[in-house]
Amino acid sequence: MELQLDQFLFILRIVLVALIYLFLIQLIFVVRRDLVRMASGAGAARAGTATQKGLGYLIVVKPGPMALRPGHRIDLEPVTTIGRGPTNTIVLEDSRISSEHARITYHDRQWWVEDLGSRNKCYLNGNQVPVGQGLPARPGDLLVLGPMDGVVTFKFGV
Amino acid sequence: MLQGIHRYRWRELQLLILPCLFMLTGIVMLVLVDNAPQQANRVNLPTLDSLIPAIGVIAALLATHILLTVFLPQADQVLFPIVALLSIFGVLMALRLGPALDTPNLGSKQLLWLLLGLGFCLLTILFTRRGTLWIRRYKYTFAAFGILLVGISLVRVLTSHIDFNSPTHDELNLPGGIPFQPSELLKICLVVFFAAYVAENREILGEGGPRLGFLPVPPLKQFGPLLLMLAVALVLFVGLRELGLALLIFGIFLAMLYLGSGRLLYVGWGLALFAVGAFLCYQVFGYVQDRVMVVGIDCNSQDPNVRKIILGPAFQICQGLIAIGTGGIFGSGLGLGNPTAVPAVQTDYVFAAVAEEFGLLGVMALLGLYIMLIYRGFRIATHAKSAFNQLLAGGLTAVFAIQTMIIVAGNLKLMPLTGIPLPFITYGGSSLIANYIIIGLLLRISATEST
Repeated sequence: MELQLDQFLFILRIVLVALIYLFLIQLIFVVRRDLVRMASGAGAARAGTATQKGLGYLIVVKPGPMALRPGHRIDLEPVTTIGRGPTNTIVLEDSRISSEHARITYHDRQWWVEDLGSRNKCYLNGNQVPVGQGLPARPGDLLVLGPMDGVVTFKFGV
Repeated sequence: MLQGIHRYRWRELQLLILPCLFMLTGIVMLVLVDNAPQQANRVNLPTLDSLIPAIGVIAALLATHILLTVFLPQADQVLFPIVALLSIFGVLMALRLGPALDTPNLGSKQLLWLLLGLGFCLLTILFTRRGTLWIRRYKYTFAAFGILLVGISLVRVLTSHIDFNSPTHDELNLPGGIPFQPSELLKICLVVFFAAYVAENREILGEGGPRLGFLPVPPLKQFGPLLLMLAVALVLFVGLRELGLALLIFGIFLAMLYLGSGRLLYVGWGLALFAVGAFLCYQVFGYVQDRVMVVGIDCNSQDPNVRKIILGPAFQICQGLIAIGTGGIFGSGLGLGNPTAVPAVQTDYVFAAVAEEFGLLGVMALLGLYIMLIYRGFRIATHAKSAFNQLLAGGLTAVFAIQTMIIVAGNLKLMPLTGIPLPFITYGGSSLIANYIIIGLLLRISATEST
């Protein structure tokens, strides 16, 4: 009789620790499903917009202090404005970004970047973007906003 | 209403099944061990009465799950089950250790604290109905409140005569004889303040400031208030002899500066400051010297001089190591060990008790739970959209991470021991309540910021 109780306790001991491990395995499955769904969701979104519109997008390369993630994709509209002000298409809350910093437009089958008279300028592939005069941008070009080493960096994509 | 049913938190319910089974298995085991006729070390375990707290815990957790479904259906569903299992661990250890420590109601007291904690968690969620962003406007209020809390216990310590070489716990006795540790709330206040301040100044912090020769120096103007707050908090803790908490606050400060600015420069300066501070503390406080010396001691030594230390200042840590060693890989089994040989086993040394009774396997699983908790917290932080919420979630998660590391390393004699609670498991009300307030904030951030 005693022996049986001992055996039962031994089984309980194993079950107790096994339960924690089972819980951990369950957690890992949930987390894995989460990650897979997130990845496939992002992929589907990319494929979806690409077939929907052949326009273009910006990829965040260096988010600076912004609440953006590197690799995050922002779709462009035919006229996209970037700045600190709340009316811009892409709002970047940073004191080094002017309230109306830059404008990206699509005409003549090409993207054009234009500075809107920003204080800290913006640079396309290292060349300063002139004020009020568009500079053509091709896929892969790097757009840097802000002083010197830049606050935010975007990459063009089509 | 239909929408509410549609959004039922099934995953959370699924994840809660195993923790509830764990609680039931644990309690059955405790009752059986108590009734086993021949146990070498009979430790007077709880009787059938202990089934009531066990079922109470399960009921409380399921009730919280339902309330979360009502108030916050879109919040993260993985965080709460992890915390639930950790809390169950806490109640189980309190139930097991209580009778052996001549405080048979320790388990039901821990259950009461757990209920209060869950209540505060829900209150936090209700108070942040419109998001957490309003908190940042009151950052100086939070800072002042935190300092005030600790100031009160500082005055109490200074007015009563206390041996300067012994660590004191900043416990306040609230009316009704309820002990309360203000420092637990202070850490939340400080994380709120740091998050708000760093979020506001992150551009300047990210840019770097003047240079001292070839060494870059952080911009002092933006740094001033932060350093001032930090200095005040540290002075308060050095005054209270709570060096573990000082270490925790310093760790949070560095983690949040790094999260906010992404510059290793601050971490470097912080570590340099830490080295200076640690050296000064070592020189000034006798008990710090004791604790550092204890780390270098061999608990098996037969040298009479060392034996004197082992029976004196190193008694607790050596007993803790013996307990952990006795457990081995598989552990002695819940209720079958003898962890009460370690002083303060229900608070500072609960990790050693877990290690003795659940063994290395159990401890690894426990640390796995903490890793998942921290992973989930940082995931909530990366998914948050505003900088303040990112920093708040990241900082609050860092609190758990740093606390766990400090106390586990202390128990394993890898680091000087400082009394700091193991989140959710250590017996104690203020720590449980503060941790649940943190969980409430994390759940709210995950709900408002998820897409």
